[in-house]
Amino acid sequence: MASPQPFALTASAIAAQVRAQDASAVEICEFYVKRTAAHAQTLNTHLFFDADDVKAQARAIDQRVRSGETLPLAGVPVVVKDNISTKGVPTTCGSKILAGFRPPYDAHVVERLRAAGAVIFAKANCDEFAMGSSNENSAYGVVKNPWNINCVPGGSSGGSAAAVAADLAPIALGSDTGGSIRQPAALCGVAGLKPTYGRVSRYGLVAYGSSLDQIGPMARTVQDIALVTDVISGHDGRDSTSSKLAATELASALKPGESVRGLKIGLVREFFGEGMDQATRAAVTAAIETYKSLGAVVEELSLPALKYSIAAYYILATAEASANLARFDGVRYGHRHQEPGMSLKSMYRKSRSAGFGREVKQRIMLGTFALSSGYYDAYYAKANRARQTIANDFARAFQQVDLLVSPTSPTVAFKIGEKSQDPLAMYLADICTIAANLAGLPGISIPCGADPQGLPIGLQLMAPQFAEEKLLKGAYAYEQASQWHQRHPSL
Amino acid sequence: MSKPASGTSGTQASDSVLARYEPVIGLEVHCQLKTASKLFCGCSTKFGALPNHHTCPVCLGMPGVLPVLNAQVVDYAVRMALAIGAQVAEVSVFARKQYFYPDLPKGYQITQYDLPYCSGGGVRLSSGKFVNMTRIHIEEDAGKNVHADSASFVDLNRAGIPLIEIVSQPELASPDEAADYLKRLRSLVRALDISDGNLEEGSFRCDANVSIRPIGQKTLGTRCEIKNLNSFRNIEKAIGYEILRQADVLDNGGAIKQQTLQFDAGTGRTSAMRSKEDSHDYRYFPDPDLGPLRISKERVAVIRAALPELPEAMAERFKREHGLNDYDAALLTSDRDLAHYYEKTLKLVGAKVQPKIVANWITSEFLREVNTREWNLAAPPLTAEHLAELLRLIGDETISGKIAKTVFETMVSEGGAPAEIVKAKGLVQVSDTGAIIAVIDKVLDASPKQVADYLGGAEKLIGFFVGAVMKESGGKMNPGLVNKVLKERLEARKK
Amino acid sequence: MPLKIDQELVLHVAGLANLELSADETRYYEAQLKKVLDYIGMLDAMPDELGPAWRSDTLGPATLERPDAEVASLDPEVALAGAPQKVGSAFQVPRIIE
Repeated sequence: MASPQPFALTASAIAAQVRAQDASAVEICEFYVKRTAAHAQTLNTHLFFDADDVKAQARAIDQRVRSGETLPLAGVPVVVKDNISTKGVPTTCGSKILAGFRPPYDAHVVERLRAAGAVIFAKANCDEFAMGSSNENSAYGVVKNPWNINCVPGGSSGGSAAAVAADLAPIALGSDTGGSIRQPAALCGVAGLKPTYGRVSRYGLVAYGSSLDQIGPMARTVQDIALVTDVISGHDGRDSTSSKLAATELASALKPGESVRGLKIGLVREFFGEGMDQATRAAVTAAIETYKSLGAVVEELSLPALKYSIAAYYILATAEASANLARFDGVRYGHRHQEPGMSLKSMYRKSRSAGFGREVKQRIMLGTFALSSGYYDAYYAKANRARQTIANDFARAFQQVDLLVSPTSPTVAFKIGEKSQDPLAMYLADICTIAANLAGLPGISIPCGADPQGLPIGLQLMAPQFAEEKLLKGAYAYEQASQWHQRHPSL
Repeated sequence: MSKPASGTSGTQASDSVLARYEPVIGLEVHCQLKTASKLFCGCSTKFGALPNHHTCPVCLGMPGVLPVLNAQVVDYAVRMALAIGAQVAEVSVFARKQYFYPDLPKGYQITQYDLPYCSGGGVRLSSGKFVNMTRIHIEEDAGKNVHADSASFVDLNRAGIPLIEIVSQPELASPDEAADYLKRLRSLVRALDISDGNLEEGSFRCDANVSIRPIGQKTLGTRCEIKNLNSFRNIEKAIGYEILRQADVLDNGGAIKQQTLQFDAGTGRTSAMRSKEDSHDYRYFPDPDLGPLRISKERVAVIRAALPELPEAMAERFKREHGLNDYDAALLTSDRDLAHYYEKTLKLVGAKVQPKIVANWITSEFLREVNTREWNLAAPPLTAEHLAELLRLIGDETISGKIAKTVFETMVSEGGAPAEIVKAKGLVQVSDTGAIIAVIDKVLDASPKQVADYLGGAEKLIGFFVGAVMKESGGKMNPGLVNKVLKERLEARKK
Repeated sequence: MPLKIDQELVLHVAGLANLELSADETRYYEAQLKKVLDYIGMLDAMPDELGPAWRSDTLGPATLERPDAEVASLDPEVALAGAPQKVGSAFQVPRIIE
C-alpha cells in the first residue's frame, strides 16, 4: 500500500485512494485526527470532535469499500458547521441556548455525505445562529485565523473555513445567508461556494434567514467544491424550496486546460467602492488581468440597486430570524431558566435572555421591529421591493455577461475585537456577498492573493441561478492559472 | 364584569332584551380535515394517543426542520369551497402568525392571512335565510396544554393537524340561528367526507363573535369573542348569555369592552381570558419555507367533478324521487350517515315498501333509539339490513304494522333478525280465510246489537268489529283480509 | 420614515420577542438600533420600478405538495430526550394561567 500523504491531498485524491484501497479511510482519518489534536484547540475551530467516533465511521467506510460500494467521497473527512443537524451529535449553532442539544435526525446534506462515504469528522464553531462576519459572536469563543491567530477567520462559517485552511479536514460544510461561506473562505484562503438558492436542501440547517440560507462546501480546490456539491445538491422532498432540478454533475464537467476564451466577465463598479483595502484592490485587479490573459472579455458595468442590499438584507434576514428563533423557548429542548415558582412568561424571558448572545438578541429585535404593527410596510415590505429591484439589476447584467467578478470581502482578515463594537462596520464587511443571497444566485470565493502580511484575499465570482457549472468552470480556469490555492499557513 | 339580572339564563335570551337589541353574531369554525397525516409532516392524526406519541422533529419544532404541504388537505379544502359556492384563489399564501405559547412549538402558527385560498360563498339555514361566508383558510392546529395545580403539561399530538377555518359574515341574529348554521356546516363537512365533525373530540370547534346594537342602529356594537365552544348546546347557551350580559352592561349605561371570553358550561357564564389580555401583535409575514399555493383551474375541475351529493341536493332528490315531505327530507339529509342508512334500507326493502314508510320508520322509531341510546350513526347496532327485513315483512303482509313495532322493540332490546323474532314469538300474521271467518263469526255472534245497528246503516261500526276481531286474534290477523271478510260476513247477515 | 427609537420602543420590541433587558442592555440596544435603522432609512430613497400591485409572496414556483401518507413518529423517549422538564411523555412548563 502506498503511504498516504493527506496533507497535500484533496478530497478527490483521498476518495480515489480509498476507493482503490491504496489507503484506508482509517489511515486518512488518523492523520487528520492527529492534526486536529494538535491545532483545533488553539484555533478554537471545533465545537464537537470525537476521535473514537471518527475511527468507527472510518472502519465502516473501509468495510463498504471492501464490499464493493463505489463511494464518491470514500474516506473523506468533512467538518460540518454546527448549525447543521447531526443525529445524536451535539448541534449548538454556537449558542448557549442549545448547549448539549443532540438532534434526533440528520440534515439532508449529512445523510448525503454519509451515503457518499464521507466521515462526519467534527462540528465547526460558528457565529451564534450564523449571525456574524467574524466568528466573534460564538458563545464558545472566537475562532482564530490560521494565518494570524490575532485575526478573525471571518464568519459566520469561520470554524469551517479555518479548519480547511489549517488542514484539519479537506472539506467543510458551511452555510451562507449573506456571505457566511464566501467571506470566511476568502479570509482564510480557501474556496467556498454558495450554491443557487434551492440547489441544496435546507432540511436540517437551523434556519437564520430562510429565504436566503444555503448550505455549501468549503475546500482547497474548485475540483473538490464540485465533487462535494454533486453529492449534496439535488431535490429533497422535505424542503419545499428545494429545486426540482436533479443534482449537479460539476466534477465531471471541469476539464483541465479547457479554455475560457470569449467568456464574458462583468466587473461590477459598485463592488469596488470605498472601504476596500489597497492589497485587495491590487489582488483582484491582478486576477482580472489573469482572466484577460486567458482570453476572457472583461467589461465594467453598474448595478445601481446594489447600494440598497445591506439595508434590505438586515431587514429581511432579521425579520425571518425573529420568527425562526421563536422556537427556542425552553419548553421542548435547549436552555431553560430554572427558578422555583416562576411564571411561564418569566421562564420564556429569562431562558431566552440568558440563552441568546448579544448580537442574536439585537437581530431578533431588529426583525421583530420590522414586522411589528405599523412598521411592516415601511420596513419589511420595502426591503422586499429592494430585493426584487436588486434581482432585476442582476438579471439585466446577466443578459450582457456570463459571470460577475468582485472581491469577496473589501478587506483582509481584521483583528479580533476591531469591529465588534460597531454594527455597521461589521455589516459592511458583507457588502460584496449579500447581493447574491438576495437574488438567490450562486457565488464562489477562491484565493487570489495575499496582503503584505500574508493574509489571504478572495476573488468572488457570481453566475445566474443554477449556472453553477459556468461558475465553477470560470473559477477553475483561474485556479489553474494561479498558485494561491496551494499556500498553507504555517502552524 | 357586570352580571345579568339573576334568573336569566343563556337559553332564554329574554324577549325584553331582543325587543330592544339586535344581536349580531359571526362564527369562526375550526374544522379538522380527516387526513391520515398532519398538514406539514407525516405524523398520524389519530385521536387519543398518549401525549407526544404522534410527534416528529417537524411538528415538535426542532431546529432545522421544514414544512411540506399535504396535498390531500388542499383537495379537501377545495371540496369545501366548492360546496359553499365560494371562489378558489389561484394563488394563496401561507403566513406565520407569531405568538408564544407552550402548545405552539415553533413560536408561530402556519396559517393563511391576507391571501386565503377561499373567499365568498355561503350556507342556507333551515329557515331559508342565506348566511354569507367571508373566507376559509388552511392552517395548522396547536397542541394541547393540560393544567394541574403547580404546573402545566404539553402534548403536541395535535400540533400540526390540518384545519380549515371557516369564517362567516356577522349575519346571524340569534343563538338559534348560530346553532342551526353550525349544524348545517357540520352536516356539510360530513357529507363531503372531509371531516368527522366531531365536537367532543375537538375536530369541529367554534369561536363566536357577538355584539349587540339597539334596534334600528346602523353601526355595529363592540364585539366580544367567545373561544372554544364545543357543543351545540354550549354555543346556544354561551351566545344567549353573552347577549344578556352585553344588554345588561348597556342598560346600566356601561360600554362593552372588546375582549376574548371563555364559556364555563358549569355556571353558564362567560368570563374574560387572562392569557389573552395582552393586545396581540401577531407580526404576520409570508412563510419563507413555503412557496405560494397554486391551485389550478384543472385541479378545481377534477375536484368539482368528484364532489359528492350535498345535503340540500339530496333532500331535493328525496322529495322528487321518493315523494318525501320537506321535514323528512331535511331530517334524513342532516347527517351523512343517516342519509346513507335511509338509502341503504330503501334499496334493501324492494318495491313493495313505499319510501315514505321507510322514512317514517327511520325518522320516528329508529331516530328515537339513536337519541336515547346514543347510537353511532355510522354503525348502529340495528343494521339497515335488519330494518329492511322488518319492513319487508310488513310489505309482504307477514306481519302487521302494529306487530312490527313489537318486533322492533325486541330487535332493539335483545337484538336478532326480525324474521326469527316473528317466528320464535309466533307473530306471523294469519291470512287463512277459514280461521278469520271463525273468529269473525264468533265476534258477530257476541254482538247482536251492534250487528243490527250496522245493518241498519251505522257503517262506522266497522271499526268496532275490526278492533274486536284483532283483539280476539291477538293482533295477528291480516288487517286487510279481516276488513274484506268482515264486510262479506256482515252482508251475509242481512238476509 | 419619521421614526423615533427610544427606550419605550426597545422595550416594546423586546417584549414581543420575549426578551428581558437590563437597563444597560436597553440603552445599548437603543443606540445600536438607532444606528442600524438610520442606515436602513436609505431604502426610502430607492426608486421604485415595481409598481404598486407588486408583492413578493405570490411569485416563485408553487409550493411543494406531498401525498397524504402516514410516516412513523419519533419514539417518545427520543422526542422528549432534550426536554428540560417532563412528566411521563408530556413536556412540563410552569402553570399556564388562562
